[in-house]
Amino acid sequence: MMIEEMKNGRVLVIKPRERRIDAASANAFKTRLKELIQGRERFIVLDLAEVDFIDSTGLGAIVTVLKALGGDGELVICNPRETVSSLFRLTRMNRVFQIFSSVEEAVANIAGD
Amino acid sequence: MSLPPVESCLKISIDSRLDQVFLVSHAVRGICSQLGLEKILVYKLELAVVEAVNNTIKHAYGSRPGHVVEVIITVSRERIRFEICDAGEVLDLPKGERFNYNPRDRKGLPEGGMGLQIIQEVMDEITYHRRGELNCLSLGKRLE
Repeated sequence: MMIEEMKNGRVLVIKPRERRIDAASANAFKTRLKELIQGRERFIVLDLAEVDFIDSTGLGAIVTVLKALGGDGELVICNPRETVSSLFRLTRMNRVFQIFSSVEEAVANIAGD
Repeated sequence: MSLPPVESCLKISIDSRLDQVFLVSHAVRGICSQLGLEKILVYKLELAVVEAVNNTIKHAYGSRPGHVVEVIITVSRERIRFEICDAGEVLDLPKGERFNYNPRDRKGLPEGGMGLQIIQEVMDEITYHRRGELNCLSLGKRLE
């Protein structure tokens, strides 16, 4: 899976360059993100601007990443499309993840935590 | 909406590999979009069918490639129905409580097991039956 990684202060912005995070690609996504967490990244913004489909396996991978941070870090979402947002609402995950409409807003919020 | 005057049907099949599911996904999205269904509903129908196909590949076929997953899409003026058929293991489809977890308990958040709950949330009619030698999960959605 192609993933763009950009450091902004202590915040890492992750942008999947794929249209799908699904059962076929979720493992690769999860593996890379867990590597980054093991490399001491604690504040992660997941930019979903280019993603137009996430299934429950993809969503589960995002949850796994959040759990891998333990109580010592944060993962927030930004730029989800209307359709992808509907998955977060459908599964009630909009109550778990903070969701922002821009990278700047997400970075400012997570950096200020 | 531009629904057909008579019941119309399309059958597609893929190999039992997760990296082939996008083909079903695109077919569902294309058909539902062309019917003029609302964008969020198109996504949810695509999602429910993908979950059903993933489930079939993972559980009915134990993630083994080389088997056929058949998807039959039937559209009428009243409903759209998706039948996902396989010749694998018969599945037990539990009806659990939907997304019953504490969002503030990070350790307890679900990492899996959400597929069936999504299907139950999206679809109006869900049946699981035998058709000849095949197991068929039928998912129906009423169209207003």
